Amino acid sequence: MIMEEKSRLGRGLKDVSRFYLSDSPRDESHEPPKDESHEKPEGEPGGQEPGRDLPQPRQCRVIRVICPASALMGAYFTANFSLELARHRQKMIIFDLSSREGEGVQDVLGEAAHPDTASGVLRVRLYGLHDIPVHCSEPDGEAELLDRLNGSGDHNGDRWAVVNTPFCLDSLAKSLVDFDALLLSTLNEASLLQCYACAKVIEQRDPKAGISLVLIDPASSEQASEVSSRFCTFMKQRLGVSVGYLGHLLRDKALEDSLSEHRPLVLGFEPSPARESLAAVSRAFLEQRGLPVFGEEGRP
Amino acid sequence: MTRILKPVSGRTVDYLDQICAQYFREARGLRIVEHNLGNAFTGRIDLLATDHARVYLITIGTDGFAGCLLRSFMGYRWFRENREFLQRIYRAEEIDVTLPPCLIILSQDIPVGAAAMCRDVCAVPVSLYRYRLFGSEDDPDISIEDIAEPDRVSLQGFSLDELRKELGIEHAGLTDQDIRDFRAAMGF
Repeated sequence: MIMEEKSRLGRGLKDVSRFYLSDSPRDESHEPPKDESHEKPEGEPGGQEPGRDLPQPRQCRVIRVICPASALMGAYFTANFSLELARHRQKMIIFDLSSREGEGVQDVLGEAAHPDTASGVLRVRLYGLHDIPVHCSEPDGEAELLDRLNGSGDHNGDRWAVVNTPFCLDSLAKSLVDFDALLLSTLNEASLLQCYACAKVIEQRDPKAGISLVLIDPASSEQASEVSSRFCTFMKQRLGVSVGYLGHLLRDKALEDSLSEHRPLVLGFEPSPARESLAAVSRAFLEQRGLPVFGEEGRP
Repeated sequence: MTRILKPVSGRTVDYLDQICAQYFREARGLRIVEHNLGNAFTGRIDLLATDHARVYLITIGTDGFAGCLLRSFMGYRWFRENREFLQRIYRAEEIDVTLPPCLIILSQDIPVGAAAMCRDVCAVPVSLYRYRLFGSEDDPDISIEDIAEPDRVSLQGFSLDELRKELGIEHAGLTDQDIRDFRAAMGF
C-alpha cells in the first residue's frame, strides 16, 4: 500500500496535493465579475489611495513580470504568484523569457512542473484546479509568445498569461502583444529608477497598459508605504500613469530554502512571512480587478 | 533567523574560489592578482583584486557569517601590516597596494542589516555578497548575489550619462531633468 502511494505521488505532486487538492468541482464558469468592486480602506495595498486611479480591468490578460534588480526574484515571483492565482480559481499560463541559467521559472518550480508528452510543454498539475502550462523561451522569443497566445488551446482568452520578462527596454517597446506590467523593485535608487524607465516605455507603447508595483524586502511596512506613495505620485504627475501598489514581498529562510531546494514557496512550505506577503500581493492583484478571492479552505 | 549550514567540501571550496574569481573578473571588471595570500593564523585573503581605483580584499566564507567577518578583518589587518612587503612583490601596473582598500565578503548566510552595521562600524567599505550552492557535491552550481541594502547603493557618483548606460535605461529617453526630479521626489 505504501509502495503504491510512493510510486503514484512524487514529492512535487505531494506538495501540490497538500495545498491544492480540494473537493471543489472544477468550475469552468468563473468569469470575472465585470462591475464588482472590492475597495479597501485608503492606504492599504489593493486599496485606492488619495488622488490615485487604479488600473481598470482590461480584456488584455497578459501580465509581464519585470524585476530589474534580480532575475531570480522575477522567476520566483512569476512561479509563486501564478500558483497563488490558480488557488483563487484563476486559469493561468506561464511564459518564461528569461535565459539566465539556474534563475528561470523552471528552476523555481523544480519537480512541481512535469513534461507533458502530448503538448511538449511543462505543466504544473493542480488536482481539482486548472493545470498551469509553462512555456520556456528565449528573451527574444516574442514571436513564439505571440504564436502561443494566439494559437495554443492553452490560452483561450480566459487565462492569465504571466510572462517572466527580462529587463530590456528595447524588447519591451517592441512587444508584439499588449500587456499589463507588474514591476518588482527593491527600495534602492537604481532599481526604482529602472522601474520609472520601464513605466515610461510601457506608457509610450500603450497608454492603456495597466502598471502595478510590488516592493521587495522593505525594512518596514511604513517604509514601503512611503516609497510606493512617492513613486506612484511621481508617475502620475510626470507620466500621467496610474500605478497600482500591490504590497511588498518579504524574504525569509523559507524563501531561501524554496529556492535552494527548487520547490515553490507556496507549495510544501509552512506559512512564513515571505509566503504570507506573496499571498497578500496576489489577493491585492485580484481585488484590484474585482475578482473573487478564496480562503485557504477553498471558499470565497 | 537561524540557519544551519551544510559543510562545504574541499572540492567545492576549490570550485567556489574559481567561480568567485571569474565572477569578479567578468561581472565586476576586477583584475584578480592573487589567490590565498597570508595564512589562517595571522590573516588570510582569499582573493586579492583591483580595479585600479581600489584594492579589494575578498573573503570567501564556507562557514557561518561571523567566522567570515572575523577572517575578513584579520585579512585586512594582515594587508595593512604587510603593505610595504606587498609593494615590493607586485609591480604597480599589476596592483597599486597604496590605493584605498575595500573588503568583500561572500557568505551563504548574511544576516539582515549586516551591510548597514558594517557601514556604521567599519573604517573601510565592506561589500557583501550572498552565494548559493545548487546541484550535487560532484557537480555544484553557484549563484552569487550582491547584497546591496536599500540605502547603501548610491548613484550620486555617476554622471547622468553613465547612470543611464549602467542601468540600461537609455531607451526610455529620460532627460537629465527627469532623473533629477525623480531623485528629488523619491528623497534620494
